[in-house]
Amino acid sequence: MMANDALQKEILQNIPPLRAFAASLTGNLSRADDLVEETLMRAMADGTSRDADDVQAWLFGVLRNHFYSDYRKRRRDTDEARQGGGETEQFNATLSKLPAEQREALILVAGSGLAYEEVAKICGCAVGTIKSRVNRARNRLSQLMSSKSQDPNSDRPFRPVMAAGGRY
Amino acid sequence: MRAEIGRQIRAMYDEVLNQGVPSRFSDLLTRMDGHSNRASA
Repeated sequence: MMANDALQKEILQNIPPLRAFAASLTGNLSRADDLVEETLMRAMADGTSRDADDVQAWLFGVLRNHFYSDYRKRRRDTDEARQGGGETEQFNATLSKLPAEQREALILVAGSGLAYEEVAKICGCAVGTIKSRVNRARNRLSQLMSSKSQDPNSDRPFRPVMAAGGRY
Repeated sequence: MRAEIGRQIRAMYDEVLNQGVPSRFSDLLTRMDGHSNRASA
């Protein structure tokens, strides 16, 4: 069992990744922050018996469950009002066209850098299911992005980047 | 295209990560911690 202040420190360290994950689920940072706040209140209410190793996966799982079970019902769907001029907003709008389960799998693997096993644990499904969701998400996004960059009316086409290092 | 997708997702994710912890959340945790300490005292 973790002492309360140790748990609190762990939770604090996980707030930036939690917000990033929540932003990808809701498509909007102020909604993401509401979702994170509700997650933290739930987590603190029942979190005193958690192991340190587990804190990130546990918090992501609480947030995700809360999003799908309660939060989403109370709000209009996420796929609205993501338009904006910036590259990130445009990409976010494209991302919102993916089914939610593919989007979250891709974000967790490609954004957070979590291992497939961790993502499977968070999403409560098999590793193979996550791999297949990520593949389908990548394929669909590639299609959407190529059709976008070929659109002569698009004034901000996606730029191909040949030298991307890191987790891929 | 795969590399481009990875780059865009990391850019989106990192944009939020780089904002650190907004005071809204550190305040919330402090309040909740104070509350539970009083409750268990």
